[in-house]
Amino acid sequence: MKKPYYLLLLFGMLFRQLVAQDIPVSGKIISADDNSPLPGVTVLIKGSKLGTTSDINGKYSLNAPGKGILVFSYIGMQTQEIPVNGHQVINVKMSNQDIPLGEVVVVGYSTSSKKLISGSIGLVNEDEIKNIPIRTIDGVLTGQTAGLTVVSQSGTPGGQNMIKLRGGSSINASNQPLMVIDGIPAITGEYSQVGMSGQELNAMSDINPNDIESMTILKDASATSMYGARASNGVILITTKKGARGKTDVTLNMSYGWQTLPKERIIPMMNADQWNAYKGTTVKGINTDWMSLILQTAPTANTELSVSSGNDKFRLFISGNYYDQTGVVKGTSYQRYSGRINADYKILPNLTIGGGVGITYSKNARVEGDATLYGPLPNAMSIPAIYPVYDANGKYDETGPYANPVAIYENAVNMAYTNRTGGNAYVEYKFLEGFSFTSKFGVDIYNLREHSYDPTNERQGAKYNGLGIEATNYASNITTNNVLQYIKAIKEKHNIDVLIGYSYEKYCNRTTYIEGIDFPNNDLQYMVSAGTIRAASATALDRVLNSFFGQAKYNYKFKYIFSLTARADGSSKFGANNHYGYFPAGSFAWRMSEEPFVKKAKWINELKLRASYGLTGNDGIGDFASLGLYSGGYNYGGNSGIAPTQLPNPDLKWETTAQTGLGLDVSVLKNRISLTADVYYNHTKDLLLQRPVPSSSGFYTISSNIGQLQNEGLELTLNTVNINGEFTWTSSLNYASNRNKVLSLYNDQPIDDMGRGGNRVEVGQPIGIFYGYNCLGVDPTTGNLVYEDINHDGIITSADRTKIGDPNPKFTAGFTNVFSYKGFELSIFLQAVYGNNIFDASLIYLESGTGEDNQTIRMVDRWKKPGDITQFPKAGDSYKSSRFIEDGSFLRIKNITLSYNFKKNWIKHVGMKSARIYATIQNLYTFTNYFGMDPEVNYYGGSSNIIIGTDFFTYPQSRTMMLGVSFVF
Amino acid sequence: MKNLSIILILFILATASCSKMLDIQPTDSISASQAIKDKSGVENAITGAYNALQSTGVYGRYQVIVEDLAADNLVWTGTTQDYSQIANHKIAADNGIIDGIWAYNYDCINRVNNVLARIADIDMSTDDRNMYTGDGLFMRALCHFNLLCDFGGIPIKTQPTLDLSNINQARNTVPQVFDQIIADLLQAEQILPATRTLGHASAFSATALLARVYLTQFQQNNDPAIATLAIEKADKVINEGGFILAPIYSDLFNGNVTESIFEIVSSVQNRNLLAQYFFPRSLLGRYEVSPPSGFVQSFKLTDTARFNASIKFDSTNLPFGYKYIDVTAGTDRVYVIRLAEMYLIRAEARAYSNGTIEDIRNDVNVVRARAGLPPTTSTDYNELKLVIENERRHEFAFECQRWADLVRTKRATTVLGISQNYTLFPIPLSELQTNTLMTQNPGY
Repeated sequence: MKKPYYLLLLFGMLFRQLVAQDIPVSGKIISADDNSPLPGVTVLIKGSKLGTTSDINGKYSLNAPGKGILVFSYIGMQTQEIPVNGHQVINVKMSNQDIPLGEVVVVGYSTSSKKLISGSIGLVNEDEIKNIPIRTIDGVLTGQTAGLTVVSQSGTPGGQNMIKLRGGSSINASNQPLMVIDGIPAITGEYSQVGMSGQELNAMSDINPNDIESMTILKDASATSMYGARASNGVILITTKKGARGKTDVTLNMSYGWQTLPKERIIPMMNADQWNAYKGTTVKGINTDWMSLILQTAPTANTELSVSSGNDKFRLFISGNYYDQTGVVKGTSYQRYSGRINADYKILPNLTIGGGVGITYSKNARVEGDATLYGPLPNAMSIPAIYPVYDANGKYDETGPYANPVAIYENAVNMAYTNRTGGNAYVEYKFLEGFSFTSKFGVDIYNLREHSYDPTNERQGAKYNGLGIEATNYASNITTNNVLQYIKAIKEKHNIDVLIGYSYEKYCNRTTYIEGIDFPNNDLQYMVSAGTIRAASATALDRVLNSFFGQAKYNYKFKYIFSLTARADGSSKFGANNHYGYFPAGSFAWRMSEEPFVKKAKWINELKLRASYGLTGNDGIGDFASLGLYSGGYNYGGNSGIAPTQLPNPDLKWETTAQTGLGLDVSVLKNRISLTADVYYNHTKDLLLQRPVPSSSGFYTISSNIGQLQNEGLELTLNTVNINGEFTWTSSLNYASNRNKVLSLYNDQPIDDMGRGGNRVEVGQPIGIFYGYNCLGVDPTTGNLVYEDINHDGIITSADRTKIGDPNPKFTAGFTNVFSYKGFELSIFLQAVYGNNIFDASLIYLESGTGEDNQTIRMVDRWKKPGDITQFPKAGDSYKSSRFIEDGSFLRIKNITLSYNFKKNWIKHVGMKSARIYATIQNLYTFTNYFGMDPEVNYYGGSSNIIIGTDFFTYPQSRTMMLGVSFVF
Repeated sequence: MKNLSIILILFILATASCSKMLDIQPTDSISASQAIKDKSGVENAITGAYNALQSTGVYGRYQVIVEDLAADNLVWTGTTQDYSQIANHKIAADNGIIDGIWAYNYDCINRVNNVLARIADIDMSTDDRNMYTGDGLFMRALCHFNLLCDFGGIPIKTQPTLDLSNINQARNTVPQVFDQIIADLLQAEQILPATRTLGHASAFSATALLARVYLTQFQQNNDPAIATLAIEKADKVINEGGFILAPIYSDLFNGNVTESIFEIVSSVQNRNLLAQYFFPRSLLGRYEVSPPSGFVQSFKLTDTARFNASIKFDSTNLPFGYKYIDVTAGTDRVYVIRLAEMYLIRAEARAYSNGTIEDIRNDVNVVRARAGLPPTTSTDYNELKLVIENERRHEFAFECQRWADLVRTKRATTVLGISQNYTLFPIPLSELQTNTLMTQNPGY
């Protein structure tokens, strides 16, 4: 009788087993992308709160109902639901989520998907810069991004460009954006001690743009405030190439080109006959064309070989580069040898180490530029045609008003050698669930050595019986960044990304300088042979920056995106009362394209509104500016002397800019048209000012925080795919207009009469307006210049000066069109600047009507007798007036490139993966009304924000033609 | 959790040592409070003040060139447009040369004031204290006098600039400036040593400068008592100073030191470019300024010895100033005051106050005799005044005197054909813009 009971029990147990019993299920979860194991994937039993997560090796195991469903979910990946169906092993491949978040870009101390960025940024990737012949970092940025202006200060090989973002928010402190390479701030600036007056060196030239994978330009506070005290001028983040996963690419790029100074841009000067008529001299038989003697067609070449390789654990990138640019002015050239290694290795799935080193050696042969008496280019323009190159004895003729330029470029030695090493090493450790800690250490070491010698067969050397200069300048920047980040997705709706960090930077600079004269022989050029040492000095400088920062980002379903950042910076530059500055920022973005009502409009692909506000700082003023100082070196009569050199200001502190911005990103018609628009308002207060003080005090200026400045503007970037088929045509237009206005200065006192053009800073006007006399023309009776008597007091005094021009443009734009058909591609890039004035200070001398300077051909029509109606006077008076103000607007055909990409199946027979040949013309033609050589110059180099828009015999940019090939094996 | 706490500890450690590491001191400067606190600091600071006198703005270039260029001893033949404005008397207020003269003279005054404000509290011997105080007072007086002659009534500075509290200062009147200069020099005269190394001030330097100052003051206010003071001071230097006229004029620029009462010295490391500014291009100079042909002709025909030491011709017959000749190393000495001037000061003081004709003639003839010229026999005051003027023009060509002479004797308007307003230079624009109490000279 008991048997049936047992059977029922057994049956019951089996039944329960079948119906409700859990079975052990396990498996491995990998990424469909690269088959790498995925730790941290949530595995849930659907309908319950039970589950587990995958471990470090992507393995999971749990007990689940045999008829249950497992839900696998992970941030950024498509969630999968897989019925158990009694299987005990379920392996899963997870693929990227259906909502593409766009490429991942480097922003701040971490990365972000492009679509989730709520700040304002610009992106430049390697495709956009590979065709530009001038291979320096700031050279390749010209015209690429709305709001970022790169003005070539001169065409000097390896020379400096002035980079400004959104008008520049400072008067005295630097306006240069912070350059960060692989997370390490880079040394930038001009370290030359052998004064070349406007033809400055540029530390950034020594970094090879071929190594760049992408550049992110951070424009507004919410993007830049992670860099706190140096962020006011924007930040340019440069990421170098890192190697590829699962393949090995060997890339060879070679190019060769020629540069010339376009003949139509050379200023026409008087020939010998016209000069004789003008000056009353009677020199016959000599008609020297000095400009053609110092100019040449200059070659340039670039060769690069790189290897990019890796597997799922290890990545490696190695490159080597040789770049050679000869200058169109004889005697100038620049050569650069550089190499780079980047490697990273995943020791464990959650532990990565990596690092890289870049080494550069460069050699720069220079000549003196404007504003000296020994520059070949200004001298060639200023010596009249009646002077010969050689005198009757075959020696260099030195009777002209300026030193013989042929003698200079043939004999003067001015070399600058740099050795630059930049390296970094990092560790990245992921732990728990969602945490990662990265610690990075980097150094940037810049070593400049200059050697200069003027021999006795040119005028400057003859004066001193040989003049030699040796100078060294060593700068190093050591940085450590430590960042702790936490990323978490909650219930697939809430995404959090929080990071905190600490950074320490130490900057050291050491210089030496020696000048000697009286050398026994022109072949003995070094100080050991100098008869007399006439100047010697050495300096040392240290600077420290100590910073804490944090960032919290939250988004709800990738639709509503919030971001908050904060940074505290402590700098040794500031007064004891103000070591630390605090810089918070916040931004919000609304991806309207994720809203149901917008999703209905299928023609809209992306619609994002952005708003941001934040405070950023600027510490770009000299070190120790707050101290009252005495310096030595004021010697007399064989005794050493000291003198007061600086007035103290213990309250000196950061300049702060409050940046407010609104932005819109729209992409429609399957991304055929996309537009990014930004409007911004930046208000700078506590402007760091070298406030002028009366010179009767014994000082010229004092550093103080007084003044306010605003910049407001609009930036547009429009990308369109016009025709898409076998023949494609895409366009890209960027437009930026910035209005800069000084809001207040100390006691509203203007900073007046700066530079050769009389730039001025005054309340209610943009920085750097030209302020001088308004020239009404030439009086037909006397031949003298007539100036407007603004205050009607009968005499022309300094009170009759007024605003005569503005060097700030009304807008800048870049327009690129790319046409491609079956492997051929033609790209045309136009650059435009509109509405700016240039003060042509060269004409003060070249159209002076007095003195010994050569005169332009327009002076042939000068006033000669009463009754003559002309705008060129009998003799000038060198007043800074509207006579020298011109419209500097220009449209330049900046780059035309025609290239051909060989078909993959042709070239694979020779083992190539891709092959491309191309021809490029850079600076083909400039449309402008400007009479001078180049409307895009500034004689003062990049080191002043006030002295801008002035031409003084400045080295113009050349027209370059280049042919190149690019192979990938 | 363990990992997290390790990281947090690291953070805390990092912050703990942070604020001290931000205290970095400059390596090429010292703080003002450290600079002048003992005798050697005072010595260095006084040297620094002399350095200002030697600088480009004063006796290193601008002042020397401008004093002859604004007059009729030099014309502009070079490439720097600012000099052209001075030569043509169309000087804009932003002229860089004028700005330099103003700024560097005041720079010297500020450096001196820093010493004078602290020297009382520093331990040193009485002799040293007198010497450095005397140096300071002499230099301050000299700079105030240079500014007074060029610009008219200027702000008197007797306190150092330590902060912004005394930055804005109004112009003092001409009599006030004279009083300050004279007070400084009278005190300096008492405490400076009687003899000094070349390039530094002695008691007689102060006395000699007083003679020049009194003469200028006398010409302004016509008070015969002042003329007497000028003569007294000139007497003292001539009779007690122990100076001797260089027997041959050209020796003055060839190593003679017996006639020098105060001069500025230069060395290769502290050089001046005066030779470069005078020398023609064929001789490696800039030829920025050169003597005009009228002056060259009259000088050559009437005064051979002094002409040969002052002006030369190059291989293409271009005339150039020849008192500063070291183009390579720039070590030329620059005379500020020398003995010959004492005789001419005495003569001029007497000529303009109707003194004894014979005395005037004797003084003039001492200078003429040294130059190898026949003595003057004139008996008319007006004639003698012109003789003195011409003597000064030739004797002190390119030595920072001609413009001051013409302005002092009120002859500038006639000789140069300029309006009275232009006998003063404009106050520099940089000063006008920043000094709320400054006013411009008429006509600018």
